[in-house]
This record gives sequence, structure tokens and C-alpha cells, in this order.
Amino acid sequence: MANLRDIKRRIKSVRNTSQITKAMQMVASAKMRRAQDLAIQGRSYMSALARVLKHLQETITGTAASLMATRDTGKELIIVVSTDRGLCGGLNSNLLREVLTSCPQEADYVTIGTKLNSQLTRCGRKLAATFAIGETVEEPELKPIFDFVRKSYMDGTYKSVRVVYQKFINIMVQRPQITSLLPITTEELLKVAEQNEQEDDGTSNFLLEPSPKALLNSILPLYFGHLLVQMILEGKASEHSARMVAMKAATENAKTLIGELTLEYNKARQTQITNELLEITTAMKAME
Amino acid sequence: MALQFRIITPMRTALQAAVTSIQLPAKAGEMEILPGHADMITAVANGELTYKPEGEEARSLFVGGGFLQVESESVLLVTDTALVASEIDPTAVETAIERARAALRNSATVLDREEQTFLAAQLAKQLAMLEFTRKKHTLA
Repeated sequence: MANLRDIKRRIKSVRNTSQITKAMQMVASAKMRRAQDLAIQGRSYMSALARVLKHLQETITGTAASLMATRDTGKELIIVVSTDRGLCGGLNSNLLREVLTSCPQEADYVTIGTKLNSQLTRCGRKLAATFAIGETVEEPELKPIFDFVRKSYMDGTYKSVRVVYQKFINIMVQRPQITSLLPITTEELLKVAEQNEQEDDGTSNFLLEPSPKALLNSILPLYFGHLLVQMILEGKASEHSARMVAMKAATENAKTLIGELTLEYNKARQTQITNELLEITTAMKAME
Repeated sequence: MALQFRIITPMRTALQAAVTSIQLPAKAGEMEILPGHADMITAVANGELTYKPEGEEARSLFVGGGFLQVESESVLLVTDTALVASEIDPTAVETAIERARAALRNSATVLDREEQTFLAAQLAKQLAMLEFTRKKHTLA
């Protein structure tokens, strides 16, 4: 019977799919562990750096470092940290919604991760550049991104740079978040410094060595670089968690589907047997 | 009275301990921090950092460049590298030095200045790391 064969074929294909999703789930969970560790460790490094920088800034008032200066002219730059690959649930579409609702139409956009490129262009956002990053987030790979952002900020093309990324909360929850990257402001520093630190006892005067200016000039690029790295790490951790959860759900769905199809298959088989028996008995009756 | 000393790198919290003294290679020169030190922020260079945990022998580790903040009795070191001698593989460091040297020599024209400074900084760090391990080995 054709019906039987159809059902059998479907069961087979669903089973194959479930094996693929199962494998993807396993790969994602292995990667997730590492990405999570990096993201969470990076947070304490960032907040430590921000604390030092905040104190430094309190002590030196009125020094205008170019990375901290606010400007009135120029466009806004939005960096969107999405993923390179899909199959990670609603991660990218949530991110896109956040971008569309809270970022201005006329700003320039840079994407890290290529998945959202076509959607952004379709919504009339101007892409200035796009970068794909591999599995590992490392210095040499990120250098072009830093150079691009820094150069276009320094020459006055952009007045501010903001980053939209998926902040990693836990395996089930990732939240789209917008953080201002440049200029580096005191409020932003405070936010980062207090992210996972407790006490902070007012202002005190720090001795600065070698000189305030030299300190500020070496710490600011470091801070800027690591802030961006941190957000990319958060994005990675979110991506792998979301993919793992999505693939787990897919595998479970496939299992239920296989169960239903098997039931249907058995019913069909039973019907076929009954029909054959009927045919035989009718034939026998006719022969008598 | 002890100092609360923390070393934080991007990869991990390398150290969290109560210490009685810290010797470190600051950019401006070698310096020692004892309890009761004035509040201070300083840039740290590549080199050996020695600290004395409360009631224990002095220990040392290699630190890459970074920043040190002394705030009343808590000391915070933010650095990109913090390794104890056993975590450094001298042969790997030597090959890295060779590679960096070769890269600097061969492509002096192709690299832009920023890349050159980056490589040179990497090289300086590797050299300091090597010196640190050599010293440890001769002591041991």
C-alpha cells in the first residue's frame, strides 16, 4: 500500500533530521561552556578596568582625551553584534527588533556577524561595513574592527558609537542590550564598574604614576578594546546557548513526531492486514 | 594588617589573597607596596611580581603590562597576563620570540607602524617572560 510506504519514508527523514539536530545541540553545548566562561570572566576584568579608569578620571579633571570628548557634529554609528550562522532560535530576530525600535534610521551601521545584513538593508539601514568573526575571539581577527571604529571616530565622521548585542543572562535567557562605546563617559564607566562589584567608597585622591596623561593614554584604548571584545564574547555565549536550546527543542519535537508517525504506521498496517483477511475469507465463501 | 590583593586578567581571576607586601615592576621603576600605602594608580610593565602571603614564603609570578590600583587596604592589579613559572613553557616562548623577530625583520616595509609597535610590544613581553623563567630555573 502506498500510504504505508509514505509513512515509512517520513519516519526515516524525521529520524535523520533529529540526528542532525542532536549533533548540533551537542556541538553547541560544548562551545557554550567555553564561551560562557570567557564572557563571565571577562566581566570582572572589565569592571576592574572601569573602576581604575573611573578613579583616574576623578583625579584628573578637565583633561580632554580624544576618546572621551563629546562632539555635536557627525553621524551616529551603531555596531550590531549578531551571529554568522542561523538556527539559534529567536536570537537574531529579537536583536533586529531591538535595533529597529531603538536605533535611528539615519545612523550608519556596522555588523559583526553576517546574519542580519540583508534584513537591515531591507529595512533601509545603511551598512558601512560588515565583519565576520570565527569561533575564537582573538586579537588579530578583531584588529580591522578596532581600526575601523577608531579611525572613523577620530577623524570626526561619527560623534558617537553604540553597540547592540545579546547580553548573556543564563542559558535560557539572553537580552538585547544597547551600550555606548564611544565617547567613554563617566556614567558608562560607573555602570560597568558596578556591574558585578559591590562597595565603592566615594572619591579619594590617588597618586598617579608615571603621569596622568600617560596613564590615561594607555588605559583608554585598552578599555575601549576590551569593552568591544567583551560584548562580542557575550554575543558568542548567547549564540551558543540559544542554539543549544533551539536544537534541543527541535530534537524533542522530532521525537514526538516520530512517535505519532509510528502510531499512524501501525494503524495503517493493521488496516491492511484486516483488509487482506477480509479478502481471503470472502474469496473462500465464494468458492463454497 | 594585611593588604587584600587581587590580580584580574581577561581569562580569570589569577590571584586573590591577603598579603603583607608586594614588589612589582612599575613603568616608572621597581616598587614595593606595604600596608598603609597611599592611594595610587600606576602603570605596570612586563616583569616579575613578588608577593608575600600572610605568614607564608614569598611567591612570584610573571605579569604583562597593566594597571595597579591601591585603594586604602585593597590592591587591584588589572593585567593581560599573570602566570606562575610552571605555567610558562620556555621552548614555546623561545619559538614565539623567533617568530616575532622574523616577522619584524622580514616585513618591516609591509607592516604599518601600528602593527610594528604591536609586534615589538609582544616581543618585549616574550623576552621578559623568558628571562623570568630562566631565573626561576637557575634558582631551582
